[in-house]
Amino acid sequence: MRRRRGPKRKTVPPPPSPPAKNEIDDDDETEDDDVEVEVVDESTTVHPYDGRLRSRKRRDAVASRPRYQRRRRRSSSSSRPPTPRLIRIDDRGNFIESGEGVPDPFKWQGTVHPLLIPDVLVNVMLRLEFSDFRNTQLVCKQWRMECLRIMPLRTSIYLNCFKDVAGFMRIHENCHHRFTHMRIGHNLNLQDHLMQRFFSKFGPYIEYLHLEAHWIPASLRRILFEKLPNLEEFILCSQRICEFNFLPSSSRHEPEQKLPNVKILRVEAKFETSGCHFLQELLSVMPNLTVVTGFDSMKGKRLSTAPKFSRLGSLHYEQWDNQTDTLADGIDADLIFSKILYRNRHFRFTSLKSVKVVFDVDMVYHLRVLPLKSLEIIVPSQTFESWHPRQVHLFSHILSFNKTLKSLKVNYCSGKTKLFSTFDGIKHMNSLRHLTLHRVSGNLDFLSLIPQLKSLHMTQEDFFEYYDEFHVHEQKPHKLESLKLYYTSWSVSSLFVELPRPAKVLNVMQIIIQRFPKLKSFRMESITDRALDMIYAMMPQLEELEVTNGSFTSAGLSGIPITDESLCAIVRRLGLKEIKTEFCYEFTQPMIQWASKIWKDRGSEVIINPYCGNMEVEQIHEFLNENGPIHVSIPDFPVYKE
Amino acid sequence: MPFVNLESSDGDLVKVDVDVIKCSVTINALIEHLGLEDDNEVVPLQNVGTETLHKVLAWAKHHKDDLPSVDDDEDDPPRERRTDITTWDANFIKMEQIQLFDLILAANYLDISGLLDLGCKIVADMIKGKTADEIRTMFNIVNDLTPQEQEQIRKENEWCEEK
Repeated sequence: MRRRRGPKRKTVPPPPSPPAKNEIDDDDETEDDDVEVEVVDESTTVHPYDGRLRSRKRRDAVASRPRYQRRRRRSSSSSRPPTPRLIRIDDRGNFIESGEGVPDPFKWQGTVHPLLIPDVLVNVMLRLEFSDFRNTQLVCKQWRMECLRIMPLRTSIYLNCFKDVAGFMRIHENCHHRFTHMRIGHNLNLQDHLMQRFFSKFGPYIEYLHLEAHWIPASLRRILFEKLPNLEEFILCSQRICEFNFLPSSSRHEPEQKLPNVKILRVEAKFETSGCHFLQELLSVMPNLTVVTGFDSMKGKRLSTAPKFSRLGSLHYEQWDNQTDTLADGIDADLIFSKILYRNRHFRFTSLKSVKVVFDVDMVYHLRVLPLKSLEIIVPSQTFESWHPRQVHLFSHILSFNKTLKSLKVNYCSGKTKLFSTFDGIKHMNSLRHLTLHRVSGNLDFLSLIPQLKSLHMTQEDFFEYYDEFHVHEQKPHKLESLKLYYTSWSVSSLFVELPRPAKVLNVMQIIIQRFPKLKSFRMESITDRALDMIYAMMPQLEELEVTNGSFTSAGLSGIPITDESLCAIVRRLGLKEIKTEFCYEFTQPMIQWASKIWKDRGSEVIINPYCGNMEVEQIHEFLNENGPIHVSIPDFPVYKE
Repeated sequence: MPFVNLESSDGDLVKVDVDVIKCSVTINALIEHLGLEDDNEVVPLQNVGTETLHKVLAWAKHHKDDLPSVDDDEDDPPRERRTDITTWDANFIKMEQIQLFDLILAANYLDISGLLDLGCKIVADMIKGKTADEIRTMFNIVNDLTPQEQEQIRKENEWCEEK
């Protein structure tokens, strides 16, 4: 029964029309003059443009838009003649072309064309490629206006020679584009007059600057302080070794000018010992940094004065790739940022949330007062010898983050240690959700101490040895959602690790299934056909499965030889997002050719094990031990979801 | 279980579970700020036809459980964002172009971001690779740019690279 009560009726008014000449149809305009709009709460209002209720924040965001008085007429699809134009979409939601070039003409009968409503148009344009903007700008004036807003968000300008700069300036002298992302290549020189003119003209719009050009401190200062008032992210590169100061001697202790808008600083340069002065001074004029990143080896010495960072939120420095060389010179080498940010007692990092450090107890000690949410510790091989006496200190320091730390990664460069089997204190880390342990040893009993953990990623060479100690019946099921176990690692020695016997793998799988009934993401190696059967049957909640280095066959994957239908059936039945296979010995040559063609047509690269043929499951284990791993990877496995 | 009565522009009443339609910021704001204490109250939606309203509700019903919930994991490491469409959504969005635009209008009007994103993705796919003439023809948009303006735009579209 329909019931209306006038005073209590809550009405959402219809949206008015945008200013589109071709959409305005006065003849059948139906004004809803009787629409009632009741006064709504102060924090909510009906936006005059599209009639939606908006929060105050959102209302402010759109407040600058014109207010159109024309109301939108009722849009009832039943009042329009039916059109035969059907949008063709495949099963994955992709639009399918008709193949006839220009599509059929289409007549929108309503007053408001959806593609002339700014919110809709922006939503569409944010999904376009840059090449599409060349065309969409030419559609009409409104599309052009929206493109001018969206394009700078999706575009960066890369200028790498004087011809580029001169051409860009000539074309964009009177242009409406306001590009905010600039990359200045290494063939340019900041001291050049043209570059000064370029920054004078376009500098006020620049929010992101990737500077590879040649510079000297004076020219860099002039541009940063005078030409770039809105700079937020600064990437500074230098091909030469920096061995000078950033600030003039007169203002080194108390910088006269600051760059308060810069939030992110990345430095890709090499520094001599004295170069730390340059970095320190650069940091000192950026008081509101949230991210500081260094990429290259930078040698420096301890700093005498310290800038104050009140909002620094993240610090990463990448030293992982060549750590052996680095560590040969001592941990302190190459870590100028760490020196600046950790060793100086004058520093204040009240908001530091995420830190990645090469293992140094002192460093972690200085961090202990911070509300860290993410901590990654790299324990270098040289430190390993002295690791055990110091781990107690490290554990106590890690424990100091117990109220905030959500993600903890511990990477050992070599060796293996029973780290967490002796770390009882982990039970106090109530906020911990994500744990990554690289090259550790021991069983997983410590998980019972952290029942709130959601994901565990672990590399462990002797993984199967310790599972005999895993007393599943004495443990409660754990709520872990993601378990990724890497049995082999990249070390040379791991190539000669003998694979576990299939029976042992099966035993471990039983334990995992019982212990972790809520797993959604699972990675395991040395999987066999029978273990796969167990996964299919007993882990229906699984969303992601990765079984690399397995000794399973195509029959193990599907129960039948792999065909197009069976592949689809597997994925549909399991609802998998991804599956990777590396050892499938029951592929036949026609199967390989078929799969290669399919994946090649999809633009994917496929490498299939040439040692195909009918091999019994029992033979695979021996084969792997004799021949080592042979990669058979099928990237970009098709995704289906019911 | 609380319900709300929605009235389409065709005058039809549809009784909807509040949990289903909470994905609409517009309706949600009405419920939260104005209060709909009486199940018999009617919310007229003067820009949404009955057919479109039923489609919106079908989408909302299917997605009512996967709306993001605020919990203590907001600071967790961000997971990979899925940009592909589920098979259900792909089948749902198979419709005539005019219906798609009705749906986009309704999603915009009701402020249902997920549904708007779905419709806009399809439209963006339709635009990709098309010339301006083809786009205008496809969507029936009038070109109000002068030849001089078009020439200026062509000149400006150089010297750029994808981010």
